[in-house]
Parts: sequence; C-alpha cells; structure tokens
Amino acid sequence: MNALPALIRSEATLLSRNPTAIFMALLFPTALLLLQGLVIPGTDEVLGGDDPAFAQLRAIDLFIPIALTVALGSVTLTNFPSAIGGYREKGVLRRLATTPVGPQRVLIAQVILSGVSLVLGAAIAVVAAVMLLDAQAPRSVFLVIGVFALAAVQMLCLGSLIAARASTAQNANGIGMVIFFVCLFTAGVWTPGPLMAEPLRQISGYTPLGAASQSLTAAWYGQPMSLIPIAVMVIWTVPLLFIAIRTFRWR
Amino acid sequence: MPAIRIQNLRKTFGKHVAVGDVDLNVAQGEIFGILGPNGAGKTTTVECLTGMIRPDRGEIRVLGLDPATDLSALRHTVGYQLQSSELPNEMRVGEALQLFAAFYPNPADIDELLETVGLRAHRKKAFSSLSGGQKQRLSIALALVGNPRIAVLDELTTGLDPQGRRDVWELIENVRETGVTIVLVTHFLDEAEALCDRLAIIDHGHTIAEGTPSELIEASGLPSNERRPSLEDAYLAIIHNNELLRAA
Ligand SMILES: Nc1ncnc2c1ncn2[C@@H]1O[C@H](COP(=O)(O)OP(=O)(O)OP(=O)(O)O)[C@@H](O)[C@H]1O
Ligand SMILES: [Mg+2]
Repeated sequence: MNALPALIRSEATLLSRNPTAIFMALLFPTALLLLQGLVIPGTDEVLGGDDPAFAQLRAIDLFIPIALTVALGSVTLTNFPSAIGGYREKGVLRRLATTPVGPQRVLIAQVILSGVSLVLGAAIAVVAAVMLLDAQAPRSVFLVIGVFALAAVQMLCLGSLIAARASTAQNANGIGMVIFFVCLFTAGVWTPGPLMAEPLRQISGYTPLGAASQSLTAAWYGQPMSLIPIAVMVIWTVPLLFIAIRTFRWR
Repeated sequence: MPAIRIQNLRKTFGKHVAVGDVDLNVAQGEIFGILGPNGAGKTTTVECLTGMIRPDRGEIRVLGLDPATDLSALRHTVGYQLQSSELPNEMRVGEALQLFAAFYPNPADIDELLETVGLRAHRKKAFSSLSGGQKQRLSIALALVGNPRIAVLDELTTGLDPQGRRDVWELIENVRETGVTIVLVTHFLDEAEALCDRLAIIDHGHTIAEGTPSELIEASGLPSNERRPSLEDAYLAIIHNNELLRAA
C-alpha cells in the first residue's frame, strides 16, 4: 500500500493545475518583500539606534524574516486549512472515509506538500530580496533553512487543527484569519526586531509564530540562538498534529 | 457465516428517529436490495453498516466484523458508493482511480475497471467536466477499485440513461459472479426485480418486509387472478398497508 506517496502525488498534480494556489505557495513571500522594498519609501535607510545588533541594518533587512513569517502564517493558517475545509464541504473527505486511508495520511500528505512548497517559496523570496533589493543574506544559510523548516512544520500542525475541524472552506478561512492576526502580533510584524517591548517579546517567544519569528531573526543575523524558541516549536508540533488526527472530522 | 446481519438497529439525530428498528440478513454472494420511500432510513442503515456513523443501539456484523471495533478491517472488506459525493474539480478520472487503488493491498486492474464502467474514453477528463451519469459510473468504479468482498451501492443507477442502467446491471452481475456480495439501495422496482435475489423494504425506520421478489409479492396479499402483480404493485401495497397499520 503506497497511500501516502499517492496522496502527495495527487495533491501535487492538483496544485499544479491551480495558479492561485501556486502563487500563494511559491510567490507570495516574494511579492510581499518586493512591494515593501520597491514601493514603500524609506525601507533602505540605516536604522541607527542603540542596539548594536540592529544599528547597522536597514528596515528592509529586518523585514525579510518578517515577510517569511507572514508567509508562514498565511499559507499554514488559511490556505492549507481552507483546502481541507473545502474537501469536507464538498464531501471529498466522506468519500475518503470509506477507504482504509485514515485521517493521518490525508493530513500528513498535506503537511508535507505545503511544507515543501513553503520552503521553496521562502527560498525564492530570499534570493529575490538579496539580488533585487540588495538585502543582507543570512549569516548561516543552513541554520535558517533548518529553523524555517521547523517553523513550517509547526505552523502546519497548528493549521491541521483548523483543517481537522472546520466544516467549510470559508469557516476554515475565518478561524485561520483570526489566529493568523494574533500570530502576526506575537511574531512582531508591527514591531519588528528591537521595537517590541522586552516583556512582550518574552511572552511571544512561547507562541508558535513568535518563537518562529525570534529564532528566524536570530539565525538570520547570526545572533546567539536561544534554545527556548526552538524547544517551543518542537513542543507545539507533536501534540497539535496528534490532536488534529484524533479529532479529525470526515464530514 | 452471513455476509451481513443487522439486529434491532436504531439511530437518532437529535430528537429525530432516522432508524427505529431495522433487521437485515444478507447471505454471501447475494445481490440484496433495500427499498423504501424517501427519508425511510435506507442511507442511515447502510452508513451504520459501513461504519460511517455509529448507531445508538443494535448489533451489526459484516462478515463477522463489528463496525464499532473492527473498522479498519471493515474498510478493506467493504466498498461503499455514497449516495452523493464529490471529488476535487481538477482531478481526472484515471487519477482518481489510481489514487484510490493505492489505498488497498490488492486493487482491481484500473484499465479493466474503466472499461467495465464505460469510462475508458473519459480517462483524462476532469471530474468537474463529467456528466451526472459519468460521475455516477466513476463513483461505482471507486467503490469497486479495492476488490471488496462486499459492495454497498446507494442509489447506484440514479441519473443514468437507460443504456447506462443496463450496462451497470450487467456490471453488477459480473461483479457478483466473482463472489462479491452486493447491497444496493434503489428506488427502481424494475431494477430490484431484475437484479436482486432478496430484498428488504424499510419504511419509517423499520424493516417491514424481507424476502425474495416472489415472497414479497406473496406477502403483499394482492390477488393474482387476471394479472400476476408486479414487484412494484407489491411494494406499493406493502407500503400502503403499513401506513394503515401506523394510522390505527
Ligand atoms: N445527519 C443527519 N442529521 C439529521 N437528520 C438526518 C441526518 N441524516 C439523515 N437524517 C434524517 O433521517 C431520516 C432518514 O434519512 P436517510 O437518508 O436514511 O433516508 P433514505 O431512506 O436514504 O432517503 P432517500 O430515499 O431520500 O435517500 C430523514 O428524515 C433524514 O432527514
Ligand atoms: Mg438515501
């Protein structure tokens, strides 16, 4: 039985026929960054300030990890759950429920495929930002990839929980959006880098996207990596996926 | 061992009693028909026996398996065609069969199956561009792709053209030849008469008759002087008698 590879192949084929989904998965982070860098004024001025870790950077440099974080959130919390919500709404999941395939494979196939497309999308964005906007390349590429992949898996597991329960695509989108905006706040999208107050920063470090954003920023600028956000991400991942599989609704 | 044995099945949705008390006995290798008016509880009954929903009460055995505890074995044993279901719009006929075949250890040959359900020429067609009858054929093929020992088909020929219905009848008989037990829910009495070895009539959530077509005609109590009553006559009489009984 090759159910998991078959599901992944099938979903990949469907994705290849859906231009909107391809855009969201592969080009959304790039579009976000280019918009920020090319259209919004003042993003290439040096920040200055007291914090030596950030003083030499321009806003656009800070914005790269943020853009990746936004892409992480939007793909995993809205696109992916609403795809499964749509399957539930249409009765596709009910059809699958009559087979021996089980919810874990359906979810894991989606998690893997979305994870791969997210990493690809992030890579395209980083290359574009470095080449077109002259942004600062990451200090340690491998560390960044590792952190990003972990963050992607973790956020997909959180998305799985919405995917497991939402009755329709719209319903999934609604729930996803609410969580997405909370996550954006804890990820410091409106208060990048040193701008977030320290107590808030510490609390945010325990939330899924906050932990992702903090480790990604640290990895990017070669700052000392704290193990706490990494551990936070690992700890979020497994139980979320487990709960999603256990509470999965076929209809 | 019987293929299916259901005793005292009951399923409610909130206050609404969808199935009050259903008994069914299906022998192995049989084509068994379930008849009954809209809303009688036919789909609810087959959803319980395929493990799609949990009954409130009653005993179900499918080739000795209890859907409540042996769900995974049941999924390998039973192919279920839902009364209504969809696939992703962009998924093609051949892709759908390939995907579903991958869920089973000994799947059917996909080319053969496409041939039998008359979809060979439409292999590359996207689901959203299929006609209603073509979707129905695909749905039947998906229920059979795992080489199940029991196939449960809910309204299998609804939406098919006359030729398509005959094709599907032939398909069902061929499948039965291979030893598969078939349970079909239908509103077409000619279909039931042509295909089924035995039948049950469900009305208001209760089994009100079970037997071969001629046993049901007998049980209807209709006189057979000038013209032998058809199964349809018998069905309508049995439903009518049940209404009178309920009113009393
Ligand atoms: N999920 C559900 N929630 C609430 N009520 C339901 C649900 N499923 C079925 N019912 C109700 O249970 C009753 C039996 O439904 P069921 O689908 O079993 O009928 P059926 O015999 O298959 O009818 P049809 O010939 O129209 O397909 C109906 O009154 C229906 O409205
Ligand atoms: Mg029905």
